Amino acid sequence: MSRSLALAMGSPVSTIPQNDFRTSWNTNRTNSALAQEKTFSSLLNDSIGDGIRGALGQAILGVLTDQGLFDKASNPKEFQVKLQSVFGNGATVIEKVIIKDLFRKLNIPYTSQGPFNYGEALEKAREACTAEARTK
Amino acid sequence: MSAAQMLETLLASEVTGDLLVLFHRNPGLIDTLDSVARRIGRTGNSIEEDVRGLVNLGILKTRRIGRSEVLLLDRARDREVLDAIAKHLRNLEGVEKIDNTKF
Repeated sequence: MSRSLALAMGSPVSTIPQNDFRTSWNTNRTNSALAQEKTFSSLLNDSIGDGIRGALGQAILGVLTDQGLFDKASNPKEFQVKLQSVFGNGATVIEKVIIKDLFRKLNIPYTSQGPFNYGEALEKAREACTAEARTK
Repeated sequence: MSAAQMLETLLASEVTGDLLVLFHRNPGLIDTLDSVARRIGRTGNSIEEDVRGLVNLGILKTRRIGRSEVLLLDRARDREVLDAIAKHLRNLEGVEKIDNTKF
């Protein structure tokens, strides 16, 4: 049935133009990017939980969770501010514990040498996560 | 020692962070200083000071086995310290809430 005939007969027709592979490719790409972001976000939350629990135990993780620590996990800057407000100078140690856990989960080698930047380390992990998703 | 000071000792350095994760994930671990250091990718000398801090706090304890001195987690003291810090952080949150309340 042609598209115009289908419209005239009131048949349900997709709003995506037929044979326009670019539209469906872009939609798939957007969905895939969203799925990858969701996967990374879940992995990061796991590492925040596992890292803090590993270093400071379940009771402290519970307090931080109640204080909304995980609400800020997706925004590295806000997350760092929150950690700083709780742990002061010790916040960097917790950031490193989280990054080490995340890198271990993604099979990225971690090196203690050189300056540490939480945001940059997260980006590296995100790229590795995206690359891993592409190979699957 | 106050809970804030205890927290400061626990998060004194990257090494103390690694030691806490190692012993919390392996609570039955009993090993020499050099072997513990190797497990976190360091040397005995480089972790000595941080280990001393955790031993002074009571989270780690030392024991002599034969000719070797070994390190192990004091589970009871560890729980005591972490519970005290958790309570401190909870109270801190309460104080912040009061401070932020507009009268």
